[in-house]
Amino acid sequence: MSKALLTVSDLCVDFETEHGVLNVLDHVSFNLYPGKTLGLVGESGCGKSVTSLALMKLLQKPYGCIRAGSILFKGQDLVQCDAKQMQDLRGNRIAMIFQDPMTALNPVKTIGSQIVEVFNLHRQELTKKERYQCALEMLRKVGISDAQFRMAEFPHQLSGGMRQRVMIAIALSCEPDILIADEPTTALDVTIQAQILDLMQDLQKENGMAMLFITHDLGVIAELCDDVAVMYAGRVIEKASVIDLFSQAKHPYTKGLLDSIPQLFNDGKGALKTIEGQVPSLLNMPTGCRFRNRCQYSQQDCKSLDHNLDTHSENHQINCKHWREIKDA
Amino acid sequence: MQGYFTQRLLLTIPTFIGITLLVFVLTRLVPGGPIERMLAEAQLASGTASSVSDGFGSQSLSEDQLDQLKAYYGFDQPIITSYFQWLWKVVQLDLGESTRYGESVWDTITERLPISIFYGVTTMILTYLLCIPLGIFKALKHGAPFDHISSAIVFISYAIPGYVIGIACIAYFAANLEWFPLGGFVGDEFEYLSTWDKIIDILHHATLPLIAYMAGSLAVMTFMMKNSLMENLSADYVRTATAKGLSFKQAITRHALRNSLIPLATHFGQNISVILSGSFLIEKIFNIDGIGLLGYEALVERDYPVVMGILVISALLYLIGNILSDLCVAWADPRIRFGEKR
Ligand SMILES: Nc1ncnc2c1ncn2[C@@H]1O[C@H](COP(=O)(O)OP(=O)(O)O)[C@@H](O)[C@H]1O
Ligand SMILES: [Mg+2]
Repeated sequence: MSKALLTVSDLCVDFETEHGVLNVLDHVSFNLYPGKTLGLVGESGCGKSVTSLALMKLLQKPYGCIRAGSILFKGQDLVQCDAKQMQDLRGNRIAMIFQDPMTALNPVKTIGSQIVEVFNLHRQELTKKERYQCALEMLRKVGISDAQFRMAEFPHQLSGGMRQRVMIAIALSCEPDILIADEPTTALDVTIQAQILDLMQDLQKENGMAMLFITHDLGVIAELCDDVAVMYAGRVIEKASVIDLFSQAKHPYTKGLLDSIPQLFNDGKGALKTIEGQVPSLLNMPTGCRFRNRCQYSQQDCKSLDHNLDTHSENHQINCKHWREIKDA
Repeated sequence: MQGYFTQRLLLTIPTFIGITLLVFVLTRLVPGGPIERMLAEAQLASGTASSVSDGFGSQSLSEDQLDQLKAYYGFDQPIITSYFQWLWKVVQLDLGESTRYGESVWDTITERLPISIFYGVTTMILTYLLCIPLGIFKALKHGAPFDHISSAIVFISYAIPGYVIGIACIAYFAANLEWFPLGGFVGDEFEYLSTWDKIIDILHHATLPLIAYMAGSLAVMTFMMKNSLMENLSADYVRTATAKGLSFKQAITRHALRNSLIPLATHFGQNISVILSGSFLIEKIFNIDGIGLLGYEALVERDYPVVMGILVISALLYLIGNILSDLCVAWADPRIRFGEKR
């Protein structure tokens, strides 16, 4: 595999709340490769958004902070970067798309001015007119018809899908090396969802950018990603190529997730499988394996599991003491 | 949009008629009126000879004279008829004559209106100038000592009525320290001053009343600004802005600020009318001859033409203020395009 563009190692993020310090991310590690997409899955509240914001260093101070770990991007550790350096990177080398396109755009500014703003920040060598032309070009690229006309419109005049296209246009304006997409299609209709995913894939082919695609939808992962990292309660518990993950998941939680996908071919018989129990609260996280209170294979020594992943193959790692003993269903 | 505002403008006519008709009828229905007041005065003037217990029985005016007076004020006609007579005059910019002084109501009001406008507009501008930056600063320093201390001060000034603050200011800054004059709009030598000194004189006289006027509206506006900005700071689009590479400061000035001013724009129109009508208590304390005091005295003295005249002015200001509010909001927020069908 080619050299990693971004290497996240042992990223720990804490949130200070009135109830105490929450250890929201615990030693999260993964790599992003040029032209490849890493899917980050996990149920709500497991820390996917926090991971993405941490990469951009957009965690809200003073509540959230990176306690430990490093984020290496082209030999530069983002954790050590100052505010100015991060501003130069954001929107330029690393860009981000958010979940809710209805609220992610400023309601009182025109679409055009919101795209042009990126060029104002990162392409100051362009003339005013060129910046406008580039913005227009971006709108066309993301498949918005009547782009010229849309430039002067306000976000509320566009549909959800179109707004997400505008968000993509903003994110990809400077041809970033990395695109972080935090559930970009969750708020959209299924048909629009497919269009947006296609668009993102096409643009990725064109740019060769690395993508971190966050979702809780395994179907989207299967369609879009090359590799997958599964998160549970702030930890990455399994990493694998997308094929491996769907064909031979090893971690009991991942297995449970895959089992809970509705099957088209079982004639609708039988109840949908679920994972028993609930995610433990971050305030009283069990020691050792964070999944053990819900795990049917849990044993005494699960208490002593640390964050390190056990290697199955070069590309497939599992954070579980007993994955070898668990047979495939 | 234009259609909407023409419609709004046209709607002010029935609203105006509604407001004035209501008050007009009220002035007729409540006991005591200009004529009764005149009679009482005449009685007082004719000495204590005719005992008070006789009441209006022994009138110093004959029935004829009384009828004449009634006809003069239009009291001999049904309410509706005389209302429309009054309205017709108003349309011709004739507000009638004061029953107390016999002066034209229009003159009485326009004489005082500049003073009220001066105080009203200055108060409003100063309030915005103070509250917007203060609110912004408080939002950015949310939870810091500065935020708490300024909140305490602002709330205290909100809780104490403006006239009490006025009295306190007079007692301390005017009477005790003699930094400011005790009252009045301008000093005695005003006419002989140069233009520059005139301005200084007005401001010198205006300082304490302005503090009293502003005290009340400070809290509302400051907190409106603070809350509105805080809400916008946590909005998704601000995060988008920072993800583009803007600094936090730029994200505020270029994105959050305009959005957070929208609620203040909504408030703008109401402020105009409230502030122009003044506060008679503050005017009384500072001996300012403004509309508030005039209205209060006219009510007490049953000087209905003046009461109605002030009502005409303040109703118009209120109606115009509301339309201005709408215009401000539409200007600040592109999502609002009144009356447009999409
Ligand atoms: N501003 C915050 N203050 C306190 N806790 C937070 C904050 N933001 C996120 N968290 C905590 O971090 C955890 C992960 O959140 P998030 O990354 O948004 O989950 P998701 O995987 O659904 O995107 C949540 O359980 C939440 O309790
Ligand atoms: Mg999320």
